[in-house]
Amino acid sequence: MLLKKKVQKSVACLLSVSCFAACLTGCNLFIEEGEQVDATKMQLYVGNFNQGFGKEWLENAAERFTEWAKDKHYSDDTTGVQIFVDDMQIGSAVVNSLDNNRAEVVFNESVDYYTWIRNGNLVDITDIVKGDMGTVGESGESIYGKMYPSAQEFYEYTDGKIYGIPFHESTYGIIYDIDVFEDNALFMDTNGNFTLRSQTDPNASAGPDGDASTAIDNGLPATFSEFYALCNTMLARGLQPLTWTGKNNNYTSRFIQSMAAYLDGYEENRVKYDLEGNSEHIIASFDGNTPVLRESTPITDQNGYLMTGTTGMYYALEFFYNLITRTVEGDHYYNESNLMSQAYDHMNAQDDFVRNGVSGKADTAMLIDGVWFLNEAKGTFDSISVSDPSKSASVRKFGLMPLPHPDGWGNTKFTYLETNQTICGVTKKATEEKMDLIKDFIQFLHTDSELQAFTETTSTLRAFDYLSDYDVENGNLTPFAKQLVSLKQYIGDDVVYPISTNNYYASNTTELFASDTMVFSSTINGRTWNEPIRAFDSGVSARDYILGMQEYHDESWWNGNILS
Amino acid sequence: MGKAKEKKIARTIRRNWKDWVFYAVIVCIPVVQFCIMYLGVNFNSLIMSFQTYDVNTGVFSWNGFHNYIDFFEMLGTDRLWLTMLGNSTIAFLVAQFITKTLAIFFSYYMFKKYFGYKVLRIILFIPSIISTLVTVVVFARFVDGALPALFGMERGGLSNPDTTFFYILFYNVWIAFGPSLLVYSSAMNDVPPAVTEAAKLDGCGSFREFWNIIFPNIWSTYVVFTVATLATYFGNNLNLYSFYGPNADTKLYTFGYWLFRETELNKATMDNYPFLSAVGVCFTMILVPIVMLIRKCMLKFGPRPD
Repeated sequence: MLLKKKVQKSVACLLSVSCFAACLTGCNLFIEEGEQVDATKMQLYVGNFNQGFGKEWLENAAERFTEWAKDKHYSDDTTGVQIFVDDMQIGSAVVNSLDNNRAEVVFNESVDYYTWIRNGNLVDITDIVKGDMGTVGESGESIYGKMYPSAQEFYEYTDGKIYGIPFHESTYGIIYDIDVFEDNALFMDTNGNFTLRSQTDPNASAGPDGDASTAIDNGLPATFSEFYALCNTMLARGLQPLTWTGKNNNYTSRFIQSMAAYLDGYEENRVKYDLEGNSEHIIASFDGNTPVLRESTPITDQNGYLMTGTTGMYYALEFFYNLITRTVEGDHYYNESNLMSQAYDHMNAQDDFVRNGVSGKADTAMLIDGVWFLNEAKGTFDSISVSDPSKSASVRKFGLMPLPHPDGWGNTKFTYLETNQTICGVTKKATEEKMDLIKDFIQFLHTDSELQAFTETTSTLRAFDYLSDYDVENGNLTPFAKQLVSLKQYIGDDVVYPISTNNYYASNTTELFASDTMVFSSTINGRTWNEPIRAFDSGVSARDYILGMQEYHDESWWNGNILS
Repeated sequence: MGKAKEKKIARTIRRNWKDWVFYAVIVCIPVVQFCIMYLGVNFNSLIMSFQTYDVNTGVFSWNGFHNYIDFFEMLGTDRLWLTMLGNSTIAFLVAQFITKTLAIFFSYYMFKKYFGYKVLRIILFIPSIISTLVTVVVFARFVDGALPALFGMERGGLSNPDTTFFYILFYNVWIAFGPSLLVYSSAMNDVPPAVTEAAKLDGCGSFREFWNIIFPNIWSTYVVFTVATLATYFGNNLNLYSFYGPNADTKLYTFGYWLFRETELNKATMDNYPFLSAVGVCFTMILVPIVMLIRKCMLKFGPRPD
């Protein structure tokens, strides 16, 4: 009996100690397993959101920086640096708990920049951003000088200081498998037939911009009808036109959001985010399924809700509505069993797409995903290229498709919406004695060669001006990265950044941009929908959806949620 | 307290100091947790429900009953409340009458040590010890992946809007078995064997034994579970967040999911917290008298072992 009591006490004590130790572990008091701190060097802790963009780019850059700074004395008793790259949760998840993280420099996304500053998560890095980059070999340059004008304005907080800079630049869109297009002669000729195997064919149609001299969109459908005709042709040729994740409906919502930004155009989007200027695209009513527009309407802080119902948004909704409802002899443009399937996530969709020509199933010609898909699907590429090197990511050809416009519209130059609210910043964990090191590190990562190295590693872009003189043919780029860089060079400064110094917008980015379910909230016959795909699957039309969005985001909503 | 009594307590403590230290070590964590996570949080919520938050200055200020007024206005205008009322009620009824009934029957099956009861106990208990996120992924893959493949269905159970809610409820029934099984089995084992053996000698069948002997004996446990289920009426989120994150279809919303989602989505700033606190206080005010009443009625009118 006594023994039993002792055992019980011992077990209880052990459990208590374990519980206490678990609490301490959560407080990050323990050094991570396997880490060896070299006291002769200065340490730098870098937090990175290790998802679609991975961490390989950062580890490689850290290695190069470590080599570059090997003889530097950032303090009296250290020579060289030691960099630790930690995985971080997404910005929206750590906004109130950054203190529990040891990261001194962060690369993250879904960051509500103004809130992070107000929460005291970030420290002033004006000196780093505006300072000359001579130390890292780019004399006369500054990070600030490489930022786009809208970013320069946005990241300069109301107190005139800069607390962060953009990280990557990304969007959701339609990724097309150029190999599949070439093999199946799916590029459109000037007669409107899908007969060509190359976009650079002299007979290729001029694409959505109507300009044959810009090969980036040549041979691609210019109008919605042409796009549907392309899908019909794909089905007739035994291909699966489209796929996307069934589990994560935000992918399709984000795609619609980006398409709406393209259809409304750069200027209209600036009005939307700056809450300043005249809007020409606000829907007043409908004549059948054709939107009737308001006269040019001045947008201010008081009536920003009007920008919910624009023609761009309506036609983007209509385009997607048709993608999921159109059929050819009972066949959808997508695999119906995957629609909203909880068993079909974005990685499954990427797998189906990437395994074209390998899986034995019908090839899938297009994928709705983010531009980081190639980097995210690296594992799949690696596994399939073991047996067939021609299937590796460095050989396979993909592209982000310049999207079509509604029938009857004039030529439209493609642009996209930067969708991830990214940031590179310095946290208050950074002590004063480390600021020289941090300055060199951040500036080093923003030299042209490092920005290009990021693109070469991840096949994606950083949100800085480093591409205008970049010779894509000489770069060590994947075909997808080449296309993306070319597309960016083609779009130029017209990429839509959903950032603004307007205080109402900047203080409510969750409601007005970041939360897709809030942006797409739509009240139809008393029921609130928050994902277009669900509504369309249940028979709601694009017209009713946008009217519902206007009903939901009305003046009282604006006054209660944005202005209050 | 008299000095003599104080001295006696001090002497007892000195004599048994090891036991007291042990007691203190064991009790301190739950007590601290109770003070912070229950008393502190709820007191703060109550205060916050009468305040408003300025995003720009980060300062709370008194706001009277405005949050409560907003809540009652919202009740009258937003049809989402009706959806949540319906779903939360269905979730409660299913938990109360289906999950509990099945749990009691399975517990009885195990109590009687019928064929395969040990295997059944493991199978039914496993979902409770595995992380919810894991079971959600497994369940979703099965319902939306395996079932359509096996039976040639066009859409999986969760991806088909007409059947989603049913499968969500099904998952919740499946996942809720484990803890109830343990407690009910344990309660049944407390029934004196002499009683059941005597009943058997009197020719009492299994059903009669269950209805007239076992169930009355576990009635107090049943009342505890009922009260617990009812108390979570406004907090039950049906594991929707594990399935869909913040993106669940509004048709599936329960009060619990709505509250959690609103807090989670708006956690970057605290401007929505005062309103949500007011909602929480209102929910508590509605629920507490109902729970107390039902508990009293069940104990008063329920079956007794004697």
